[in-house]
Amino acid sequence: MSEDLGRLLDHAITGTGTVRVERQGATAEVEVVEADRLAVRILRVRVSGESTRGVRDTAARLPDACRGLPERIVPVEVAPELGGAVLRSAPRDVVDREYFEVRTDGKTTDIERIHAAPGVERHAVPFTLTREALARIVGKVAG
Amino acid sequence: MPLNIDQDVQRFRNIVKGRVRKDLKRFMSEGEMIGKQGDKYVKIPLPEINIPRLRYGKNEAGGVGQGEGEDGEKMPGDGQKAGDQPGEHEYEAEVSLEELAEILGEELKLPRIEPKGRKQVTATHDKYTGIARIGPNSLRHTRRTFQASLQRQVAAGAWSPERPMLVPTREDMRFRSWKAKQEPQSSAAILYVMDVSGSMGKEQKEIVRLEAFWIDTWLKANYKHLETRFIIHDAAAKEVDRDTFFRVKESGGTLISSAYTLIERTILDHYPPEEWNLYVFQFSDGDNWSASDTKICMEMLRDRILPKVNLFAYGQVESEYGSGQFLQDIAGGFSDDERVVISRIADRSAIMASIRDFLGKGR
Repeated sequence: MSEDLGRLLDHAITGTGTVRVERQGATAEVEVVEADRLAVRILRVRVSGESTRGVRDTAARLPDACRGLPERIVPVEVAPELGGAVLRSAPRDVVDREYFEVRTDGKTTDIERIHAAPGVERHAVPFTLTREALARIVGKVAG
Repeated sequence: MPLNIDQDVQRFRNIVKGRVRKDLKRFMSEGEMIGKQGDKYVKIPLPEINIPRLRYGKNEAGGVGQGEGEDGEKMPGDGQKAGDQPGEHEYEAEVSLEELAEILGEELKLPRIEPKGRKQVTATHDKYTGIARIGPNSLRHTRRTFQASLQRQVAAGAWSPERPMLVPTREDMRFRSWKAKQEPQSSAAILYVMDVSGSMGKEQKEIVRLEAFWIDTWLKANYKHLETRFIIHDAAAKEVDRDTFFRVKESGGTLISSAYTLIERTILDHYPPEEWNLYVFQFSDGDNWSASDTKICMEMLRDRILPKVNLFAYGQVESEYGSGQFLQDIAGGFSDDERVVISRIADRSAIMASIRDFLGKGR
């Protein structure tokens, strides 16, 4: 089911804008900046589902699910009592103050690339994934 | 003839102080002295200073060219070449915390702290101020006793200058007596608050440790009686000892309001604001969990914490992930408030400027 969601998303991405696909209660939404035959430039990926895993378990499996990202992500703040968790690129992978940030509340997971220049408010910047990697990530996060 | 050793010691102390002064920024950012901290002194490694000293040889050892062997004979050994690099000499000078505070104050041009115009804590001291006719023998005042004896004998006409002899009687005895004196004493309490959530790394904590050392040093020089408390928080806050404060690592989310609640409770339970000069130093990477919690924090700060403290200092330590929003939130809400100081600490090199920000107001 989850792999299907990834494949479905891949077929749905044909140009720029927000692309949303749904399959058996799981939803994937991607803000596409640019796309070609091989790769997609993305501002944000959001995957929602009916997971009953809870915040801690979801946070524990996200590093593996997001292995398709160019940087390894690690749990930074896991707070079931606050209803969420934040994972980011491992500190040694952070270059030029840009890193991946994955936020989850156990049901919805957002993936963004953040730029954190000194004196400037943090903001999301586009990042590039191959279509194959995007489909795999979405599939695994949904699963 | 008096020895000149005191003069030499003083001269040496001045050299050490000059060296500390010159390298103050490095000392502030490296913290090598903090690991060698005693109650009253810190040891500062000063590799450039060599202490000259006399070395005595053995009289029987002969001199150059006095050993066994013939002219031109090779010396035993594996033939290694002599070194051509200078050896490392490291001297550790002891500097008292008062001296360090003085250097810090002078270098950063810090104003002396003016305690709040509130009631000061009084401490009781016993002071020998008078003379009593009764008391223990251990407190007998010999001169006054003999004076009284002389007066009595003169008054009675029993005093003979030709045969001066004083025999104090029981009525002549005089004893030192003391009074308990209440003296005003400025007291201060520092509450260090640190975010130990998962986003605060080892380096960020080290920066906080260095800052705390210098803040402590300065405030100790300004207050006779200083108490320090340590509060850590992620989603929940708790009070810990100094050692735990700098070592603990949690992985929870950041809820700054939990710390503010504990700050207020600590003040109310232990430090009545009318008697204490209170300082709060909060350190975080500024990543509060939610905007709604930040709103709660701002209200607590304005209504329940600031009216009780001399100074609320917020230091935002940057990590690999940059810096959060909380600094802007405080700056936006309290930029005109004299009691609030904020400082952005990008890395270790920013510690000196940050200390100046925090302590430069003389509050």
